[in-house]
Amino acid sequence: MKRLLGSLLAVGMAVLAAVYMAANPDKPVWALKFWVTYAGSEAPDTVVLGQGAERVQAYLAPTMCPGPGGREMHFVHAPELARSLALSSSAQVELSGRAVIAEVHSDRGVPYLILGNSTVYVLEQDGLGERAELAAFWRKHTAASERGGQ
Amino acid sequence: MITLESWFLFLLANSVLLAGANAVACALSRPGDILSERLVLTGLAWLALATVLVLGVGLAGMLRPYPLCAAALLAGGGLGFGLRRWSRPLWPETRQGLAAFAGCGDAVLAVAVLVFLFQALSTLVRIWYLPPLVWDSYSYHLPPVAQWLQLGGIPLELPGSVARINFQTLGMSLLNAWFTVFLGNPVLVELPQFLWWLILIPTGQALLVRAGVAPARALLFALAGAFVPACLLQSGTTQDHLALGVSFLAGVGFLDAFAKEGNPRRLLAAGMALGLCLGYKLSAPLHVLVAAGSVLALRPRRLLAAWRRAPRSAAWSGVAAFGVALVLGGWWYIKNLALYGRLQGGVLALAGKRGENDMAAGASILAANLGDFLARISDTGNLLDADLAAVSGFGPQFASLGIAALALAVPAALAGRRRGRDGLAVPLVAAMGLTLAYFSFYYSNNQYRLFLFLPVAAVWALPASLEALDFSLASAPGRVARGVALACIVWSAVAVLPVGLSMPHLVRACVAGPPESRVAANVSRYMYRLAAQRFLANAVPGNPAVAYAGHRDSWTWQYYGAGLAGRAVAVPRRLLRLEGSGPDPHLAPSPEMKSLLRRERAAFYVSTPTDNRAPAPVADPEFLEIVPGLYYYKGAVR
Repeated sequence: MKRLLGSLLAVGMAVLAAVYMAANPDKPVWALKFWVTYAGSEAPDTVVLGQGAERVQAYLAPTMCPGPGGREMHFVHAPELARSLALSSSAQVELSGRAVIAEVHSDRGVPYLILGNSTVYVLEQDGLGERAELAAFWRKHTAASERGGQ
Repeated sequence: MITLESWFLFLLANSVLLAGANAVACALSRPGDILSERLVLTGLAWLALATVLVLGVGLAGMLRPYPLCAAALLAGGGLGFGLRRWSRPLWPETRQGLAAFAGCGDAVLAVAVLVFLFQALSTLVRIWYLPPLVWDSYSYHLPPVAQWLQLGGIPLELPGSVARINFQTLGMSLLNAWFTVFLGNPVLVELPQFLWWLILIPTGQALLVRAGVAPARALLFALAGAFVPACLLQSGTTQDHLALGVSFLAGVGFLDAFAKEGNPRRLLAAGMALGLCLGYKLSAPLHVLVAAGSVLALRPRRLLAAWRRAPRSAAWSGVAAFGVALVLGGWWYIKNLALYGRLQGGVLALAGKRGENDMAAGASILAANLGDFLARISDTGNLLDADLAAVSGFGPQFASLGIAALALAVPAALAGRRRGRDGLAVPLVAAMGLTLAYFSFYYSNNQYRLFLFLPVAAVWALPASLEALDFSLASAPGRVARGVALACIVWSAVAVLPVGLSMPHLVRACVAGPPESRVAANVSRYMYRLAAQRFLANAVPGNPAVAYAGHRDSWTWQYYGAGLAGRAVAVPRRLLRLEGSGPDPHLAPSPEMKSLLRRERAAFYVSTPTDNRAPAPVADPEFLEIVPGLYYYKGAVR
């Protein structure tokens, strides 16, 4: 009797564990996919389309903290592009149909581009209304932080 | 950048505190006790001392590295000196334990230990390289830590819109602060729950050995319990569910040991464990009541016998245990009583379904919980991450070993009674009782992370029940249980390999980036749509004051920055005047709001209230939109 109960118990435990694992194949599969497909590979390049795309594409440097490819906000580290845009006659460049570039200054003194809006911020260029005000702010803010923060 | 001086203070304070904790553990145990019991006591005493020191030094307004380190030297050194007659070296016992492990020649256990080492190492790496990823951390677990460290003390109330911070128990935040204050950097802020995970393993082994299970077998099942996915997922967070569960189980174990042995020192140990438990959630008094009630219900004769043997000693130990518990976890309740006139301060929406939270709704909440139980424990509703939305995270352990243990509980208790072994009845009954108690008033999408003590207790109960039923290690259920335990350990370790709640494709960039870029805004799944948070984290120099739309769940942790030097300024809801109607209302900043921003010199305003809700657009010429949801207020810096 005890042996029978023991066997039933053993089979029961093994079957229950197997049923649980069979019902959850997504967990180990996701573990593999997470590291091999996503976290293990380089972050996807930004997808850039539309007017000015070639120029933007050419200057995209390794991303600092990219968003999901082509869909979300991207931070790209591209000082050369900012300089190029500042020299160009067109202040507006449309990326991905809705993305935007903004040049700002980081605490390391390197401009960043921010994609994800609908206008171009060229902060060093005068005559752009609000953008010029923002540029003034960034200069002031950067100077303040270099003196030890606000 | 963490300086050498910071590391020195961190290591010095913790080493001295560990030495003091070891002295406490020696005083509360006996030379013949097993090593795991001493390890549990050392771990509990370490965390208890750190908790008391941060709270005491914080309330005194000296929460800075040097005063805290001095307090640690005094406390650790004082305990080491005062308890020296009980002290005994740790190494001989450790060597004995390691030799017994090496000598048992158990391949299954050896593989389990290897998986444990990998898991421990990978969790430490995650803690070091990745920021907190659970959103509770951003709204109420961690902002108090940043505010305390900036203020250099723990005031009775903290400013901000998240009201619950001021009436919740913040025992875990105290430990988060302990592991942050010396380094001045939150890189180890998630360490406390990892330590609780480590404490869980000797807790299980000690309970099982006390229940008559051989040490090697006990260690395997202790590991199987600790590898319940919910425990693994919580071990790298700043949440408090794991700490709550482990302290509860340890407290129950010590109370049960007191009932069995009549040793009053067990009561003090129980007071330490349950006191820490009290400090982690406003609902923790329920844990203490259930722990005490389970022992009273199942061990009335033994308790009476223990009392009769030495009534004076038992009474004094009981009072001392209560005092210890009060010191460790009572502050929050006393403060609530003093400030708000009630122990629980404010009202938390504990019972969640459709807003029901009164007694009349108890039956329907219980029915909903019982109805969901099988679906939840199947874990098929979602992937596993620390939030455990719509799943339990109880893993294959509970589905197989745990269910078997529940089925065997009554026969084991009856059969084992003759041999003085009842299959870990008290912890199992306490865990089931506490789960049912919660089931009667608490329903939420994420509630099962609070119940992680249930699968752990059930998995631990299995070998004890097999022992009580006289199934040997070589019997069919004994062999299969060991195999299933190992399979569950491996499966769980694999299932939690992904970094839950992260944006997978950003993990590598985050880890590879400079330390200051390893912040929630760059990798948290919750922040993927929050342009404002990412802009502030990456493109704004210095540590600016950031004003935010105040909400009861506002996330503010990210505004303090990697060095915790930033400042978050809540704009109260009454100052947020919404204009327009329909789907696109916009915010018209009131003069009071502008005045607040000027006063606080807050040039940035974030209009996204909490999470990935759409930001409210601001319509005011003085506010320039930088990215969606983030505005530069020209009036703040002139």
